[in-house]
Amino acid sequence: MASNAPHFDFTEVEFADNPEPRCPVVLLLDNSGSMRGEPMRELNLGLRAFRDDLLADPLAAKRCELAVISFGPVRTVSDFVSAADFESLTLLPEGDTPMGSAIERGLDMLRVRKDMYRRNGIAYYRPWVFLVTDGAPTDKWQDAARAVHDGEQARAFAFFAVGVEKADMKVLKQISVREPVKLRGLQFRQMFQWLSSSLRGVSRSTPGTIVPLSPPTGWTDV
Amino acid sequence: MTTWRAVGASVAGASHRVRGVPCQDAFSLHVDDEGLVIVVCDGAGSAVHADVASRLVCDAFSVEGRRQARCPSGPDVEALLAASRRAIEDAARERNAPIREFACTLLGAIVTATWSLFVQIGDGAIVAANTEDFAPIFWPSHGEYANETHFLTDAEPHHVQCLVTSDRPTRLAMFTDGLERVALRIADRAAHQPFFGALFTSLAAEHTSEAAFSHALHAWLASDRLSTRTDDDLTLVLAATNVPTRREAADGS
Repeated sequence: MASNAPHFDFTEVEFADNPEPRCPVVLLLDNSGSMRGEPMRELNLGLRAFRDDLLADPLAAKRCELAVISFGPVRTVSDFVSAADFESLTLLPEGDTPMGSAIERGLDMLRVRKDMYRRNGIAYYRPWVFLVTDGAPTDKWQDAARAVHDGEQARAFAFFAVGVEKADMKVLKQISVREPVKLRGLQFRQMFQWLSSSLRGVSRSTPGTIVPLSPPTGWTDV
Repeated sequence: MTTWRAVGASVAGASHRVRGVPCQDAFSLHVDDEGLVIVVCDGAGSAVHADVASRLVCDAFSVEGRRQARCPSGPDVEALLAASRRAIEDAARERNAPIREFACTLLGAIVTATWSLFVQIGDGAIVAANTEDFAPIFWPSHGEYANETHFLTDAEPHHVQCLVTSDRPTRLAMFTDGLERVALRIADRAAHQPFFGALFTSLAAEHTSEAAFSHALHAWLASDRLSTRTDDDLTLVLAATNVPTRREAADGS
């Protein structure tokens, strides 16, 4: 660090204060230039409603932890915080679509977070990575795809991909082991509603519970 | 002869109460001249017959445990586990249902005059004390993720944690995983001393009746104070011998 000021990281203090098991979620959100206008606005509104949904559920608010990475360019908009501390944020449309490096950044952050949980004796649920894009990767994405496949194989996380409007569904299929879904119109709010209710299910599941995911209907196109 | 004061309670978790799902925890508590047999089971949320399974396993383990408590030579863990498994295998056959629909964890303790046995498959914990601090006998066994553990139905031999000893605890607490974050200090893998200290002080008080204590325990497990911390089923069983602790003896009262 450039400054000599002591650096305090209170992240781990929070684990002592809130020893609930955690369900980490990484949102990888496309803010490339093509999202300009209506799509970006709807995505931001959906994100806000998502936070409110989680906050309305006391256990989910303590247990779900959100990290947000936007890509176009790759930027960590918010490192992991519990839903209760998640500040509302507004993404602005910018440049291209470096999806590959965004995925790699997300998976790196997950690894670091899991280490932190283990170090602090915090139990955790299988993490979710949720990718939303309206385009095709403008960078090398093959390494990221391999990392996603390896991680799913090792049950290190569950990876979901959502394509918006003219998204390249063929590439998404090669990246995601789970069948990517196509967003119907700009129904980001419905998509986030599904995500929050699924997470509420996961975050209150107890040992031995296989959490049935409700099918992503109502906001997807076939 | 050692006599025990023993109480226990099970309540359905908040989420189960809302959905009308029965409590999937069960316990069995038996005290006689040969000693103490306690079993606590937590049926898997994903298993259709979890509530039946935890009840059957508690009963089967307890019957076999009481038989073994009469053997001064020591326990036969294999026979205890076999009897427990047989109970759910029979039930699965009867109902024509797969054995995984009877998945449950197992915590078992037998304390006799000459030996003690502790066995655990899955999560939850057995916490014991003699004159020393309370300490978990084993650490709850979870998979990597919080909603994964091991069950009697699918346990590999290395998932069975077992201890046979000539030491006899004077206080014993057994509980399902819903209480882990209240009763254990997860970060340093220890028991939360004030939690057990307070419970056993009340249990040992001379005017305490077992019935009244069980009733109070049940009410506490069902209270809002706990359901904001967990919405899982909760079971807690406590047993203490009437042997005075050192401190009480020193008080000379």
